[in-house]
Amino acid sequence: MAEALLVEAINRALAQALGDDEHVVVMGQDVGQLGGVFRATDGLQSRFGKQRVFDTPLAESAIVGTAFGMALSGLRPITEIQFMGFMYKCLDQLIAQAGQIRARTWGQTRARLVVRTAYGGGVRTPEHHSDSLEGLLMGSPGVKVVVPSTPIDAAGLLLAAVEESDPVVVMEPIRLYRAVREPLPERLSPVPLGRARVRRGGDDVTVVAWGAVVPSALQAAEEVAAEGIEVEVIDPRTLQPLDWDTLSESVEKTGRLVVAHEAPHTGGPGGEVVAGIVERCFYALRSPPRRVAGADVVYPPQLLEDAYLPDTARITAAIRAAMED
Amino acid sequence: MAVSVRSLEQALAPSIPALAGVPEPFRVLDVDGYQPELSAAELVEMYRWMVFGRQLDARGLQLQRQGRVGVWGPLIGQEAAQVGLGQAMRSGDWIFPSYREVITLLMQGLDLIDLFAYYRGLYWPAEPVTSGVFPIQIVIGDQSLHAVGAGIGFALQHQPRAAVGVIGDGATSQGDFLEALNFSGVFNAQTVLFVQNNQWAISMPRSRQTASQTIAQKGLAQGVTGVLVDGNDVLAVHAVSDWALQRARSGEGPTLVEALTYRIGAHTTADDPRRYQPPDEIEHWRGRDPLTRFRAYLEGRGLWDEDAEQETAQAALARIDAAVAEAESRPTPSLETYIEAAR
Repeated sequence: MAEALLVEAINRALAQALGDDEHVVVMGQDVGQLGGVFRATDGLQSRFGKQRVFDTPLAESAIVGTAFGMALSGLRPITEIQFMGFMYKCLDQLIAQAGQIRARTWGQTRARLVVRTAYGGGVRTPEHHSDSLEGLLMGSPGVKVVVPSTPIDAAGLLLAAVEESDPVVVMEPIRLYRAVREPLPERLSPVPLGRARVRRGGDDVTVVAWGAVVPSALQAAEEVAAEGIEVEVIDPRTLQPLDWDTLSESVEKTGRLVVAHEAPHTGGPGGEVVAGIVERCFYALRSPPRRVAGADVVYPPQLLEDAYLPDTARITAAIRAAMED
Repeated sequence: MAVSVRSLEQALAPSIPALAGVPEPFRVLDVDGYQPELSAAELVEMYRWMVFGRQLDARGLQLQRQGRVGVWGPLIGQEAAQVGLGQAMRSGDWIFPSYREVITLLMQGLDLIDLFAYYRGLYWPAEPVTSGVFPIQIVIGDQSLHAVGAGIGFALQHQPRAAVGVIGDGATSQGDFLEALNFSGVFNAQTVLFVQNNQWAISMPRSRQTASQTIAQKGLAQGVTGVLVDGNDVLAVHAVSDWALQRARSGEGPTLVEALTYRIGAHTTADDPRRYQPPDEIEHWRGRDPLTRFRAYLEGRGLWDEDAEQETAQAALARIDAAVAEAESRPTPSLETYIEAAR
């Protein structure tokens, strides 16, 4: 099996989806001849033609809004929004329109639409390029959200998203596009939505992390293992809907919870994970759940971002604090 | 030596785009010129729909006052725009509407009972994809993009059908409308963007909505054909809609239609137009009532009379009341049923 970077796995999954179903189209800014600003769509237009893989004018709301109309007409658009920080422009079409059509028609109409977007910081991009908006999306019924942290999951979650009946946002961690690689099988398999993956087993503390924070969480687990603390690292992979069974099972065992994410602290996804676990596992908890998140400020300028991002040191500190309580 | 402002303006003139002229609304009624190829039966059918729409509007207002429907958006005065479009649409065409073209939706096959069930407060019970009638859009202008997207989808799938997005004059200020217009041109969408310009967006007159002299000319800058039509002339609206829909279905290009009409009634039953709408302006437009104009045409051709008018109005009321009763007798689903459908 050939090794592939995360961005190459996405490319492979897109090619497989295009090859499997003639209704799949890939659309967005610069996804055609250029192959996307991160090259996720590299070579797809020449392989599948301009009717299947095409550039759009520069308008995020129109990309998602027309993709919704195309989905209604029977196509399965996979759109690319270059950076998640630009998604505010299309949240109305995504959340209020595509995400609500099923409810507004009593389940009769479905918007089969995928929005791929690059998210997160750590690569010295200018302002508006590093946002993590999963908290906004998790609070928007009708929209599903997945976040891969490995090449196989990136490919598999994307393939599963194409098969979903509701709009799915695939948050692709910019920092991991070319930082993680693993062997990919010839034929890629979908990774079902709503199923977490236990990345590392442990009995003492449950650490929940997704996307680009997962490698930091695994590193933190390694560091505290030397002190005899066994950490279970869970990557939910899907944030909406969350796999509460896997999360609860782990916290029932460990009694301690740390959630780490890049999204802002207040009203963020960590609060939802903690609240859900407190409701389900209150009597198993042995110490207060902790959040390791971005500070409650606008994402900082490039030269300050390393101090802002939840890194191994901060996650390690939270694990130790959870053990000491 | 500095160039004088005057000479700069003269030098710039060839570089400043300008319209050759302000478009005149296309008319068929009351003018010599184009005559439609519509049978007597079709003409009468169109007028019956206009009478039906007027009765529906009156009953809708009453029902709202009685607390039997939530909010009603009056359509009085705009019947020609809606019927002209509806008559030109075919089975297989799709419509993404706002809340002020229910006659078109009914002509396209929407069940009147479903419409009242919606207005009673139950979301959209009709199935959109097979009927081609999509839910009434509340977020102003959003549906422009859906119609263009569906029109791109039809083109990519080589289906000879059209998607119509209907919006009001207020929606043309929205970014989504302008983006939709642009995308329709770039992708040669099988779409008609149909603007019912009733000249008021709640309290904002058309003159304050855009500095453009017409909405139709907004197509020009996007490379999309725009047409201005007398929206109170049902034959003109039909001709323009038929032409635009044929173009769309055959992939000849999208069209922006501006149907110039007037909102005689309030924005909705929650509105008080006495605070802003000049009474003499309303009176002026009452004098251009689309029903009066078309009825005179039909009577001139011996196709209509007072008996037919009375009979049609009574039949319309009976059908409306039966549908209201039917909608009111539908059991209200439980919240659990809704959650099951929505989750």
